Amino acid sequence: MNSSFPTFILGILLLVFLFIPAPVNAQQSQFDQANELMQDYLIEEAFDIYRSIESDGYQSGELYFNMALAAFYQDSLGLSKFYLLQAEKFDGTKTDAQQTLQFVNEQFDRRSAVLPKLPWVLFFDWLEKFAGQGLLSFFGLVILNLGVGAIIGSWFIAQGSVYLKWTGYTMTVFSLILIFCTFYLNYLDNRYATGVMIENQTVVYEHPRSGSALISNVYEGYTMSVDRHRSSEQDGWYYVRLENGMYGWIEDGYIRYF
Amino acid sequence: MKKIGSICALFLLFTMTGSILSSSAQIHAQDFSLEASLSENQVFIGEQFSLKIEVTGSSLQNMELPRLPDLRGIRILSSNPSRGQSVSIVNGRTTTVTSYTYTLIARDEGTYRIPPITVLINGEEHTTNSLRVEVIEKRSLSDPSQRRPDIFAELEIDDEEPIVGQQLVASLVIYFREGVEVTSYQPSPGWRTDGFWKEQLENIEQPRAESVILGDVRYRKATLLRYALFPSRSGELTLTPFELNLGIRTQPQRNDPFGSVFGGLGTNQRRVTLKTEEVTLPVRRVELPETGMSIGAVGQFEIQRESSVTQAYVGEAIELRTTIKGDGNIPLINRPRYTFPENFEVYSPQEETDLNRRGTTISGTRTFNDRFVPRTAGTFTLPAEEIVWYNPQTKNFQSQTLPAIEYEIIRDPASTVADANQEVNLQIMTGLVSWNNNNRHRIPGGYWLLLGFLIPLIALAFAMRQRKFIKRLQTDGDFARSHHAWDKVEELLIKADDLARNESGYKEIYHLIHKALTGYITDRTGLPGAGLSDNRIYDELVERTNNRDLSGRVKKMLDKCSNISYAPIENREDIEFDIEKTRELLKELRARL
Repeated sequence: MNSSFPTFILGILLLVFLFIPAPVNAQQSQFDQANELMQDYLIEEAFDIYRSIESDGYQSGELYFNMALAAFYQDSLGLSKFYLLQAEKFDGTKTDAQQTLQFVNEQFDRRSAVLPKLPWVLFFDWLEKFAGQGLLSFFGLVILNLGVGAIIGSWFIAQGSVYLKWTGYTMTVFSLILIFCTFYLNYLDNRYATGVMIENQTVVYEHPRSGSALISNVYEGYTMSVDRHRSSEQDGWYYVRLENGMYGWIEDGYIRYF
Repeated sequence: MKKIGSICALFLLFTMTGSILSSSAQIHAQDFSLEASLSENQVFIGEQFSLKIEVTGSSLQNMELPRLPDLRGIRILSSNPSRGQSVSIVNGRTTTVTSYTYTLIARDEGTYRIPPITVLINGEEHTTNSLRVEVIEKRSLSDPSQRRPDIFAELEIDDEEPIVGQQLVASLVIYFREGVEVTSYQPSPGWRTDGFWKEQLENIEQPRAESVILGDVRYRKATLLRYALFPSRSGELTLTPFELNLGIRTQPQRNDPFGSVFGGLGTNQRRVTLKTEEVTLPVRRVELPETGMSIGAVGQFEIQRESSVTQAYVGEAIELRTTIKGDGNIPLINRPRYTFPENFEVYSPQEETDLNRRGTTISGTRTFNDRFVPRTAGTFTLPAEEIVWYNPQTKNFQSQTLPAIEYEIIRDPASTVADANQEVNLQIMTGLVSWNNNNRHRIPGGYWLLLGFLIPLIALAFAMRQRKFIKRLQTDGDFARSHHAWDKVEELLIKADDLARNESGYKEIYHLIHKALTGYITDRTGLPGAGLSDNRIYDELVERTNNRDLSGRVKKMLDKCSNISYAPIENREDIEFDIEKTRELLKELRARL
């Protein structure tokens, strides 16, 4: 019994090593296979594999970048932009994605007028890009704990209690602001998505029905903000805010969002 | 080598000399023109008219009189023609025009052909062109309403039943009788051609008058302006009257007594305004053929389609040029809409029109430049297209098939796409990829978040409670006594234990026991620490604990402590038993107070 126990443990460890990395290797090998197909100009086949990796829940800047190139070679500039915007969110592919995005944007025949963003919108955009919700919430909680600790310390430590108290209050208020920002960003993230027009042209309606008044025409490559909450109230329609500040409804099938 | 060179030089010399001589001979041989013309093409019976033979050239050394053939229905008044000669020198080149004019008289009614006339020039026989003359009988017009004015204008259309898009030539023609001379003309603005696209044709030459007979009256006819008209819709289309201001000079009538007085040197000069009649044209639309691509062209055309390249890189711009050249509605021709392969990104085409308005019709070239960019590699075919148009001369549709063009698109080995400002790398990303869920932008999981909030909250609550407790200890004396009561008891009992273990000061031991019991009860109940009798303590204890048994046992111990001075000395075990008993009592009291 004693001699078989280490063998049992060794077997368990072997199984863990064999089966846990297996999915990781699987999508990497799929990715490599798709890349080879791309190099052989078998774009459609490569694109299918990329899509299957994505649908399995794996994300990577390189994956989105290659998907953008596949879409570009398939003459779908709108879809290419959609994937490049996602690749831009990853540090490793950010620069390449931005350069290619600029190039792709220049290929569109029509470009939307862009209304300047409001200052607080710009601030939260910057906060999302600079730190992100994870980092913000981490620092917020750490500072909150330190601040509360400082306040408690000021109650029981006589020496320098005033400084300790105000330091604690400042840190707590700051941490609460950070946590509020985190939750607001999370709210924005959950409620609004970035949409990209992938078809040649469609119409933004005032109400979610084809016969309602027209708000604006949108063309391939236009980006917009999709209101997930309001969109969920109408099947087959998306409530969007265009870059020119106009609001309205777009029929399903013309945009992709993330 | 030397010999071959000299032979070649000799051959070249002969060749050049021969070619120079032969070309000068051709010039010499063809350096004149011979032309015959009639003063009138329509004449009345008995009317005189002239036949003119003109020889124009620079080297006419010897020329004989023309030999007139026998003419049917026409009589030659004199076989000796009047001869005229003029010499002009332009740019050092002398040109001599020699003319022979014969006077003829029409004899019989009919249409006659004057055959070519032979002229011997420089010893060689040359012939003129044949001519045609119509001899008609003059009839008097009985109805004065049929008489035309001395001068009038007409708008003559070359086709009275056009189709949509067909080029029509509208000529503004004036007719004027002998004795009237037109000195100037000025078209008035405001000629409306609704339903037509209009282009004015440029006249190369000055208007020339020719003789015509209208209703037994001889008129002279001159075409002043020409317009190309293109009907843009079907139905009855109307051209409004064309107004024209003319300066004319007329010979005075013989019976006009004031003609010579007011006419000035025997002529009358004045300005007249002429107006043509309104012209209505029935324009029809022809049914398009079932096959072929119609581009709305009407006329005679040649179509070419050529591509700038047939082999290109992915992303390289390709230009497809379609040239439509000919005579017809050039500016109204639509762009051929080709079916491009799906992987071609087609951009807005460019159109160019080059019109030639000189001459009697509009001609020119219309060019369409389709631009597209292949987005994927491969071999693609732009299919052949049959372009159809209507030919008004043959009254039928005509077509031309543009051959298919095959494109071979390859990927640029450099795999870069040049931009105006930068180069963008369009190479795929390969290698080992870090697969993550991009959680940097997400709030961490619920447990971590809860823990992060709960820890400070619990700590804060605990600290506040502790702070409050400490503050009460500091400010509330009864509370502090009550809180420290047990500690004091413990201290006293330990001291008693030490004394009992040393077997010394048993009175002191019972004093400590008494102090521990009364101290604990007064501290816990808030009674004064001194000055209370044991009975009072007992009563207070009964009231607080409502337990007479416990209170009685406490009272009994207190009494024992008070009376110990009068009792015999107890042994160590008894004392330790009392200490332990006191401890038990205090524990019971702790539970109840």
